[in-house]
Amino acid sequence: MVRLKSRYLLIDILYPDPKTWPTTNPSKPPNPQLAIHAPTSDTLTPGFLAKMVRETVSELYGDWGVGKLGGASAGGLNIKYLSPATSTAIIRCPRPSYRLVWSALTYMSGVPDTNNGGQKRAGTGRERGCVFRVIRVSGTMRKAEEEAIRRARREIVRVKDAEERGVLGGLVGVGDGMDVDVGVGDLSGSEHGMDCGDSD
Amino acid sequence: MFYDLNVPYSPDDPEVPHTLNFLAELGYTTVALSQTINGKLPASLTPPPLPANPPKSLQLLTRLNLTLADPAQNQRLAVLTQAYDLVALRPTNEKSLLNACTNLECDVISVDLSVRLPYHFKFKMLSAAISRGIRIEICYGPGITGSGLDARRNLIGNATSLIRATRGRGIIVSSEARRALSLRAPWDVINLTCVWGLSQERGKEAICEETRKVVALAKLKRTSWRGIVDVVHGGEKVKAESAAQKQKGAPKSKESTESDTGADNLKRKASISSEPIAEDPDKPLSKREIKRRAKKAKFDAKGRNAT
Repeated sequence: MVRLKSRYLLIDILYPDPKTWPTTNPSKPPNPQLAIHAPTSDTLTPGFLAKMVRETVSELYGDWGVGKLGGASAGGLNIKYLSPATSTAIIRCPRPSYRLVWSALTYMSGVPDTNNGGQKRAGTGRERGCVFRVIRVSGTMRKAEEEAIRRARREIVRVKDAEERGVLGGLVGVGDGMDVDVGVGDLSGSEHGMDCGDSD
Repeated sequence: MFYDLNVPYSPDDPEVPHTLNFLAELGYTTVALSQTINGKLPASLTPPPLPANPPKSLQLLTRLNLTLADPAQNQRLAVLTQAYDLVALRPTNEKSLLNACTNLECDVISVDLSVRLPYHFKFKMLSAAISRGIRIEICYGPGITGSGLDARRNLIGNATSLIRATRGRGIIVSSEARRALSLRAPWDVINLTCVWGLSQERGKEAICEETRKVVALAKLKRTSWRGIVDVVHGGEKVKAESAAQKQKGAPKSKESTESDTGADNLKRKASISSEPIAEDPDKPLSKREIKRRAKKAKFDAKGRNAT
């Protein structure tokens, strides 16, 4: 029996532009670490993300690229998971063409934005500038999911650490290392752990 | 250990802290803040002051991009290399590229790949540069965002031909991102180089090892003697000892030449008698010294017989 092999790309969406950061508390500047991982607006649906990726692939690689992705019958491009709250997504694509999808993600630079919650954000039109970062390329969805959970936990610990230090030392320091060892026990279930990630 | 060796920088830019924060967040460890000079060099060449409280995980370097149009204008490169951590040349035509590859003293050659180049890269030219320890840089920033379709096409085309011409060796990749939005995470960049025609390992080298080599070599060039010898410890004690030995050695040789003449024995005797007092008694004698003394004694005896 021949199996259709695919790759799962775990991506997260980063917002480096300070103009698009959510302003919850105007008196206090937002923690940059937290703001970079800000939640995405709900207008980004899985279908829309898939359409965006397909469009970029067609822009970069033309018909050949779209053909390589394969249609719905061949397993094609598929958004398996998208959480706007944590700005995380898992994309499934055929194994021979995962580099096409990855480079398309690299060339993408915006997500749709609506002024949700009645907040005014200066300098943004319909597009909100962002960076798609591929965190993990995996052959199975399970490993991608585990990585997402691991990352979310680590982020929580880092942000908490930074806040504690901010209270003590009087300066909100940016985390000094990417590899903070997580010694926290079982936080909670997987979905819950991911959702706490960046809800400020 | 990911390096981004080209981040345009001016001290009064309000976006700099955000860019640096984002670089740290993406996982870069060393960042070179670059300043670009076109045409004439100004009188005072000092790098602009580094930004206040950068992220702790970042190591900041200073870098100068010097646009090179005609070969006559680069007399002061030696001064520049002392002031900046890295010096990059940006040749605008083939002649200056050849000059930069073969003669000029710099660390990185960074051709602007986002415009259409009217010449081909030649392996001989580029390999001459690489064998001198100079790396060729690809800046992905202009091709990612903002600069339009043409820039992207040219960047891909030129990068591919550069990779073909160098056969994948000696290439570094950096961002040249004017805004934080056109920065990309290291692994995304590596994938991009894969699409351009490097293999995955070479792509990783282009952003890790090769860039590290550039930084290390540049540092070695600035602190050490001709890039070969670096003084770790001055060794003052050894120096004093050798000086003392020299002092001792000098009068002895004079004596032996005098003894050969044999003209005035009295003078020689006097000098011989005064000699042992000056000498260190508990020092072991070398074979040469023993022979010399034996010869001297023989001459002495002969002299006494004569008188």
